[in-house]
Amino acid sequence: MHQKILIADFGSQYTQLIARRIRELNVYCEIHPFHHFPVLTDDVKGIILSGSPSSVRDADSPKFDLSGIRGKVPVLGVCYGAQLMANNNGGEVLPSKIREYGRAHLVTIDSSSELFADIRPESTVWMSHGDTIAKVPSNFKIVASTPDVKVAAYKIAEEATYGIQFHPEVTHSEDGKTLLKNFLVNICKCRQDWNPASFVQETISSLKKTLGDDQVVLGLSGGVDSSVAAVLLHQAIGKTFIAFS
Amino acid sequence: MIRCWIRTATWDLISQVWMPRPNFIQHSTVLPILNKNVKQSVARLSKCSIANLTRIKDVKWLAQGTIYPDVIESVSVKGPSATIKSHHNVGGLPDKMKLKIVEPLNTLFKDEVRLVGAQLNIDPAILNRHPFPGPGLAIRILGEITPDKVQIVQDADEIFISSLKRENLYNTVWQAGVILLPVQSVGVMGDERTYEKAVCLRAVQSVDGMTADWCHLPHTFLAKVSNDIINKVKGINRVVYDISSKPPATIEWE
Repeated sequence: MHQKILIADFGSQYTQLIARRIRELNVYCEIHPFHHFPVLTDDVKGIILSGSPSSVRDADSPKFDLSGIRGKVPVLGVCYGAQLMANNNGGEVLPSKIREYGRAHLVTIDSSSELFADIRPESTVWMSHGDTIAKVPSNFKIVASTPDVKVAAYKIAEEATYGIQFHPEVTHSEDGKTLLKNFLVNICKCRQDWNPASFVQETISSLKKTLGDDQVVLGLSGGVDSSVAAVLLHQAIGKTFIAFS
Repeated sequence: MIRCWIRTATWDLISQVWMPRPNFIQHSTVLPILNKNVKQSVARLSKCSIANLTRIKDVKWLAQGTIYPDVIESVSVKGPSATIKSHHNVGGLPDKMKLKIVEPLNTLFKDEVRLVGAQLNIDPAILNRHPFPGPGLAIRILGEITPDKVQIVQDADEIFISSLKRENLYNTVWQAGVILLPVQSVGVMGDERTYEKAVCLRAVQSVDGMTADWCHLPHTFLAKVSNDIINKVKGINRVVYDISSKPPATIEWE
């Protein structure tokens, strides 16, 4: 299996964008709903917790057991994901006095933070939240702030667990891609070797293993997806593959 | 005609990496991939077609071109957002077909599929095609599906799509197609009154298929396509144009 990042989806409109950005950085990732999250395997290099339309203060908000992952692999909580970790560990999440949607500027950045390497001071970030982290637990270290949001980013001491209030996956966050790259490469140690060529190679070898000498049919609509699937299958299993249209 | 297109074009363009000659099943542009509404008809058509082909008697797997957004749509946090419409590419088969499903592209986004296609040296003419519904033109036939209706939709679709290409409009449209409506209406052709079927032209602009707006195609173009379809496709005496966006409508009608 290719090394991968798992994204726990709490229902944010931006979850798929996180996945897109990660893949643009040549790292393979998968989105899984928070309530059907897979057990960690060796190929998982890091976990991202998505945002959510819910508030951690709501009784029916999405719950997530972090005990199985924290400290085992690097974790990055985005918006709701960051609030969830703060809330679960004795921090305080409150409704923002000013609901913050849109652009904001990072005013202070802990330059020693691996997550913020090469990120410019004053960098524009995209905010979209009604709640804010009012107080962090004592072992959480604040690593970035904006004029309105004191806890724009934190790191938990002694572990590679981070939380950010803004959305790096949105293109309006100027250095968002750099931040994601820092997380993937510097912190999770991903190789950035997932690309069309590696996909083709790995898929063909796994199809060979799964299908063996079995006969396979494919309905070929003539569209992009079925055409590409047909060529892949043909390359994998050759004469036991039949496409029809 | 679309069937012929697939036969020749797929041939010419993919054949360099394909078998000497795949087995074609004449009337099953439709696939046994399930949209609840067409499930019965499609399964029946496929079953009888597959039965004619002794070569695939022992088939164990059905491969599908399912891509990642189809998978994500089906397991979202707040329940299946795909309840809007049963998705063509996700779902089981009728039990008695006893086929296992293999989906080699189910981790890829659409543009990644195109990149993988380019990696496999598939011709850009195929890679840049409009999205095409998984069950084929079957979902563009409202009501019972018959070989005659499939033929009508194939012929009308061929006229619409080739006209878009001829007028250099194809690449300005995200997706286009023809829907066969389950109504008949009165017409006059020559000296005779007719009572025949109507087709609807659909053409939309979109970035990712999640939202879409109808295309403002030139009236002269629409007039020409309408004329061609009514003159050349037997059984059609009326052509209409869909001017709904998504939401509240959807791109396909089923």
